[in-house]
Amino acid sequence: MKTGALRACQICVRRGSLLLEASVALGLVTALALLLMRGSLLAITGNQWAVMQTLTDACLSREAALAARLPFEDISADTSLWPVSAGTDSIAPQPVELGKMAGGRPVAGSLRRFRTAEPVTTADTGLAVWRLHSVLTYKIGEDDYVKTRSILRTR
Amino acid sequence: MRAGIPAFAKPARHGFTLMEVSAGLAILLMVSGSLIVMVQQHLTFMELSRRQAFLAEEAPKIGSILARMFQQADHYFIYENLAQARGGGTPVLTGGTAVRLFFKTAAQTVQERFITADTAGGRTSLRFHTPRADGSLSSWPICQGLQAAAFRADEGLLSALLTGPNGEEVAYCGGGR
Repeated sequence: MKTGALRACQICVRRGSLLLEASVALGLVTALALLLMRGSLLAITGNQWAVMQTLTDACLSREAALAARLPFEDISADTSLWPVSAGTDSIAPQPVELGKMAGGRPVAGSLRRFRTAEPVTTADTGLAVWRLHSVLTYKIGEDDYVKTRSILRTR
Repeated sequence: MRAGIPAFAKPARHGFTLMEVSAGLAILLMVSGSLIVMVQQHLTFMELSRRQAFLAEEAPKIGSILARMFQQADHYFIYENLAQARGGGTPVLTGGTAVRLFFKTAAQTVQERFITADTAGGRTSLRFHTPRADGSLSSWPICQGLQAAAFRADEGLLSALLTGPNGEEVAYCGGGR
């Protein structure tokens, strides 16, 4: 009688261990999958950040070149590309295409341009000094980011 | 030896039932299916990462080189191709594949350099050319494997529009001082 009970218990343990081993295996696979996905997502997110920096830097290279090349009369004209403003709030943003991602998908941002007068301590020199600001706003995921360039022009 | 059991009889061995084997196979399928999905997902992410490589890794280096050259050039002209640029052909404002850059030296002499977009086998490479004293050119590649590259100057700026291997587009600008 005792021998029969012991044998039945051994079978129970063997069947129970199968379920336990299967659960452990599935748990390990799930943990591995989550780790791999986290690593891949981190890599893709880092790439996305680098890609946006590339596109925004390229866009601002145009702004810097244009601000440096614009004739001084055009800067201070009423129809100037960089109007006078005390801040970015009063300037309406204009949409700008930063470039295209892989597959040809365009990436958009918004650009504000304004100029501020730089103080000239020696008034008798007759210097006119403007600082031309370009403020680029772009999105990465759900977050907004801002990048600026400013060029000093003197006459 | 227990009583009642013949000495030649082998002990009874407990095998797996059909239900146990089925359950084992089902679990094995689930685990292997999960592993296959994981490998596929990893490959998808790797492909995404590879497609972003041009804008994430190559374009910043190309932009840095072009920006330094464009900013240091005293003035420039754009031509349809290198032969026209070297032969003094008519400059163009858009769609050029060769730009002729003029640099002022410390001795107030002018040095010429060329940047060209050369297409061969469906791929475009940017090359920087330096004229030698005997009239020949030495050159080194700025980048390779682009879909297209073009120069333009219709806005008063020198602009290089690069199209990457997967259709990416990025434009770097500069201009004469």
